[in-house]
Amino acid sequence: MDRSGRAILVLVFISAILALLVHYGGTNSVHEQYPQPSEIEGDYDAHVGDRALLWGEVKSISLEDQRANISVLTANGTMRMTVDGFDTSVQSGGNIQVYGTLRSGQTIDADAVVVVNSSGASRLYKYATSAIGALLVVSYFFRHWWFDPDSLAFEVRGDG
Amino acid sequence: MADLLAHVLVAYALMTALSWRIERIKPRWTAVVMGGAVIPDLVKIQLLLKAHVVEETVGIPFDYAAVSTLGGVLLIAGVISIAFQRRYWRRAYGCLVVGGIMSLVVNGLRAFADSHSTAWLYPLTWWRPPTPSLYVTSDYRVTALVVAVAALVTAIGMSVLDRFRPRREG
Repeated sequence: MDRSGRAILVLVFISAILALLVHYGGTNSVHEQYPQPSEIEGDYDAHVGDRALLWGEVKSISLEDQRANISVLTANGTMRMTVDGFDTSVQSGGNIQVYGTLRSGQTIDADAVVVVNSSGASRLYKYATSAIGALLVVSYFFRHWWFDPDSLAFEVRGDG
Repeated sequence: MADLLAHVLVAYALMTALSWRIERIKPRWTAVVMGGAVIPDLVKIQLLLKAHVVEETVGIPFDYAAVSTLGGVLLIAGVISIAFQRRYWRRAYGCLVVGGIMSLVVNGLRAFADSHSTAWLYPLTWWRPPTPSLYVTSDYRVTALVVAVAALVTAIGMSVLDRFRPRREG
């Protein structure tokens, strides 16, 4: 296939990828099982009694009372929530998921809590390991392939 | 998002182990499967360019989450495979898709508080498959386990099997 044919194919795929991202962005809210943070923040009382799955950063925690205060990202900023029935060990600054029922007074009655990042530092750990992964895949790939500048395409290495 | 290192190593270990049985799986194709395993992680582009910035600039809804789905893998694998020589397109596409799906499955085992993973089969369905909640991605034990398995597979491949298969394959 000639270069213009390839260029057209690339454009077709990139357009399709962008269309997919737009379609997802435009339709996922219809398929959400639970009210989203921005909706909850917009009219909290209307959502009391609803089931919700929230992601938040832990601000403070009291294991004796099984309570934690978290801040949940919304479209306009953050929303403070109290988690009732919190029995998991986590540092403030950590990230959690909580699934439960919304109660009055910005409180969620937790059925389950998952610690996503136990502290702010574990985010750094994730990025560091991901960087190592990227290096690994790039170096392994170029051990077996090389980019031929004449045809502008990857070609198998002679010894690979 | 499970970390990229785990995705790449799972792809490497699985393909290398399969290559002991299946002659056609050569290291060069394992390398392409590993590349495919990175596709769902391209969702991290959102750290550089936030989706809401795109939405506000262009004025249409936009969500990177679609990258970490079956549809995202099938399309992104398409554009990457065109970067290969024409005679490798089909094979490269197949390997990239296999790698991408491996990572989606690995991601699908992550912990969710409501025991359902993301809708990663989109656009086939918006259904969120149940997850056994095996791990969270910041758990270093997950990485340690995958590194150990990959190292073991490499060691077995180098020492034991080469004795029975003297012909070195590229």
